[in-house]
Amino acid sequence: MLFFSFFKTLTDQVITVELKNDLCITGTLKSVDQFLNIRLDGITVEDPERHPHMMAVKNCFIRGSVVRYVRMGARSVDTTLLEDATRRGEFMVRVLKGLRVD
Amino acid sequence: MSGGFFGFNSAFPERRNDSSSQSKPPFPGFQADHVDQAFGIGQGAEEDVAVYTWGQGLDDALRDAHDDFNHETFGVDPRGLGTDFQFAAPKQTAAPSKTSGKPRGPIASTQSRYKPKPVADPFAMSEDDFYSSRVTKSVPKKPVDTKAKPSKLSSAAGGSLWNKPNVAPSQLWGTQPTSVARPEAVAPPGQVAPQTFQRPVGHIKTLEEIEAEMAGIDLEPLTHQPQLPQQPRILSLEEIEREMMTTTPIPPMSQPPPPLPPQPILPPPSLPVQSLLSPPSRPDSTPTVPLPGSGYASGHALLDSIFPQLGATPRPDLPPAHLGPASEPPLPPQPSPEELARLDALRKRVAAKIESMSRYNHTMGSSDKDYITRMQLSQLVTDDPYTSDFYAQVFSAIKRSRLAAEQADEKTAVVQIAPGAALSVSAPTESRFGKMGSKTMQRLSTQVKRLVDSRAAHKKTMDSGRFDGYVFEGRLIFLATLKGALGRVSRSGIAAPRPVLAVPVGSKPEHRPTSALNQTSGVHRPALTRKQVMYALEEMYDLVLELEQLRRTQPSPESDEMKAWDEECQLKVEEIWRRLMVMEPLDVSTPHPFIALLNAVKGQRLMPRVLRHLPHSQALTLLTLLIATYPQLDVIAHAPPPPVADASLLNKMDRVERARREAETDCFLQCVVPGMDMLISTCNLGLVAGLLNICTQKMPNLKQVASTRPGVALFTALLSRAQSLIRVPPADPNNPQPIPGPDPAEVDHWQRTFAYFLHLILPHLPELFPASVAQKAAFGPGAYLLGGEGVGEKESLEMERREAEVWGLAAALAVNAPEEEQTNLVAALRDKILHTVQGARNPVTPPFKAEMRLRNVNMFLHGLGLDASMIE
Repeated sequence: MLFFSFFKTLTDQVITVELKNDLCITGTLKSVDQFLNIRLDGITVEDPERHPHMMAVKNCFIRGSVVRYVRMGARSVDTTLLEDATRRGEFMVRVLKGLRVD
Repeated sequence: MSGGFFGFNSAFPERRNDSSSQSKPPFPGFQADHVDQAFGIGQGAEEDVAVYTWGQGLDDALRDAHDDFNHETFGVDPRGLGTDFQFAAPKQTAAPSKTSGKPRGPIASTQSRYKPKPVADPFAMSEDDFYSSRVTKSVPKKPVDTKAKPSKLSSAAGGSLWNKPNVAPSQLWGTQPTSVARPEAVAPPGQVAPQTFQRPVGHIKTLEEIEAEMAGIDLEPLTHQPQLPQQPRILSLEEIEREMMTTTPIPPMSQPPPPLPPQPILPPPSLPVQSLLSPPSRPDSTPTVPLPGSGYASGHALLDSIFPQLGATPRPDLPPAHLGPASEPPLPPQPSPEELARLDALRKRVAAKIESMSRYNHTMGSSDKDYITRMQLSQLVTDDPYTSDFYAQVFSAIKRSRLAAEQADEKTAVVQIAPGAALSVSAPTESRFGKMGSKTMQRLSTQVKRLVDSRAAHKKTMDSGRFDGYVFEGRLIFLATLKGALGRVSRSGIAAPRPVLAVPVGSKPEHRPTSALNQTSGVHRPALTRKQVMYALEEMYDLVLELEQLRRTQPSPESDEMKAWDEECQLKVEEIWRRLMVMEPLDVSTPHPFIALLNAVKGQRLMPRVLRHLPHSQALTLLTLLIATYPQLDVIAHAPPPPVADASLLNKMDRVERARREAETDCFLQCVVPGMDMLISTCNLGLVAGLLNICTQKMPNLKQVASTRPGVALFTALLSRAQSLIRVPPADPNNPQPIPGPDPAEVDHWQRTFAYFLHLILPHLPELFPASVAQKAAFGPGAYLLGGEGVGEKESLEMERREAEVWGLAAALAVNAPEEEQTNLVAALRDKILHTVQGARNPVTPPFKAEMRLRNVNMFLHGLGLDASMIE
């Protein structure tokens, strides 16, 4: 849930989603769900010559599994908080619980 | 497999015995006697083409446990969808038949999708279940086999034309209805039969009722038993072949046509349901004579009677009179034409209605979308929304506090579903949920709550054995109730994620937590290993996070919870204090455990957050320990040399190492030193003197400490704090009350301590300046570059900045020093002052640099009442 939680904070910000087919879509993040499906609004495509079929598309829904990278502004991420959030994750809790010898 | 291979019994020997002992057809895969029925070819008797259906019963094998939740995923019970996709079933081969070949028809209602099925799932609940019960349970599961039952039973009840009269259905069912070995096989006929002619369609019987009815019905089939041509026995190959050649054309004689005359125009007993569901596009809406091969239809009637809510209940507009024929099997032989016309009109009307209602079938309406949304939301429900949505919650909280939140009460956006289960949504001000408003949030909360409850109830009825492993916390078990809510995708789920990383959970001594070390009695012990430090820090982080979470959920000061909350916070703080290991003996190890924690960048970052929570006395203790063990700090003991000293001689490894140390120092200055400054600024003069005394006593290499940036920062902070305490502010005219000056004894103590400190540091003072150190260390090409313009602007600026730090220390010394010591101070720094001022006046020096240098020098000279302009 960490990434879902993280991406939720990016709503209404401009991000660039790079898909696994090398298509890069820049747009305003409207919503994201727990599968990290992404809805973008007001999109533009990097390198529109290569993807002329995307010219007319104004918004899109991206299935989470086809996303390779999401690029976002560094200022929209609170790194310290993100570190803390990973500490609170279930994975870390499990690791630490397993190691704690009481 | 119950299916045979080319008609030969391919079952395992034990199963063969099993099936032969119970009067199953000898080769179930080849049911030639059903062929005409299956194909709907006339009255079977005049048809002498043997058509075989192999692989009958494959539908069982094709069905797997993962289909269990399809009806919840797709909203429609797959068993009610029609069985067109079960290609192996003979009813499918009945496609050419006029009635049975048609799809089931539109389902006009979506209402039943949202209701949990009241019937216990007749299918296997798990794969194991399925395999173990396949032999015995497979029969009731198959609509294929059961299709024979209604034919017999309803024919016995009088609805003869509905079923094919010349099939020998009792081959399957008539011989052993009382068989104890197959109770499951017996139950469905009873379940179906009474329903088709006695009960209202919506009623589902209990097992007792079914058995009672079975007992009543049994008698009749038993009378026909002697007439059966096929006794259960193992046939020889020749016999089988002979059978294959002969059985089909021979009309099964076991069941004589029922005494009632045929009723060609009346709907069969279960027609209401079926006709209503049949596509209204059917050209002749008059009740056609159900073809003999309408096993599909009868199977449908069976399904409908089992799952009535799919077809029957959602039609409140259905006139009760219409159900009449279904509930009264002994129909009048020839209904009047008016009656027929009436029924016809009625049915047309209903069909038209259904068509209009079903126009948008298979497209998502808003209710379906809501349903999906609720499902998705239910997946997000956890018992600890702050943990699973920590980032978003805190991020938005910080953002809001940054924006000076207008509504303080809108703290978090958590939809409380139930105690211990909640759903976090984004901040109310900025998310799509937030735009909904509080009313919508409330409605959402109740809806999701209902959904979660129903899922939990459903889960209780289910076999819990499927959820294996990963049961490590209660909340995950809870989440398991939501598992599969959106369909089964893979074996892993939200509750039991597929372990991608296999983390070894061993308890090697390396992993031993540092708290265990506290109990060891030895005064000296080896220093903490890096791993121990890291684990200790992670535990500290957890504690701090928990504490911060606690603080965030502070109850109102008047409430009773306040006390408990306070105590809880206190406990956490104590635990943190214990784990900081500040109270360990000073020389328990080198470095001290606390210093070991601080040596890691992670620990440095944590320190300000810890200090915030510690009570003042403990913080002061921490400061004292920190100063006493200052030389053990990595940033002191392995301080990086000034940046440009010997840069040209560094290889790549050195550069990386130096960069790391620089980063550590920066982090220390950024995270720890401000906290120290803050603490020092709260000390009184006696305490400051004591701390400086510790410096002189506990730092054998005072010069080394002072030549590092953290050291300079520490001394400067101590000296300037003392000065601000000693220097009594001038009497405020507005405030006649004189501010009490410092205690003379304390001042005396301070002056003695300072004198000793100055005595120690004075000889090394010129060597503390980084530029001087760099100059000394430099040789080769670096020496020429140094001070010249070859050095990058950035580096030289950085150098000036660091020079300023040391000048600041010198200034602090100057202010504190008595007059005679001030002369010594100037004498010690004379060369440095002159060099700097001359460098600043050199026309080659860029003006900004010259200005910086002059400012640095003046910082010191002003402390003595002098100025750089006085120097010639």
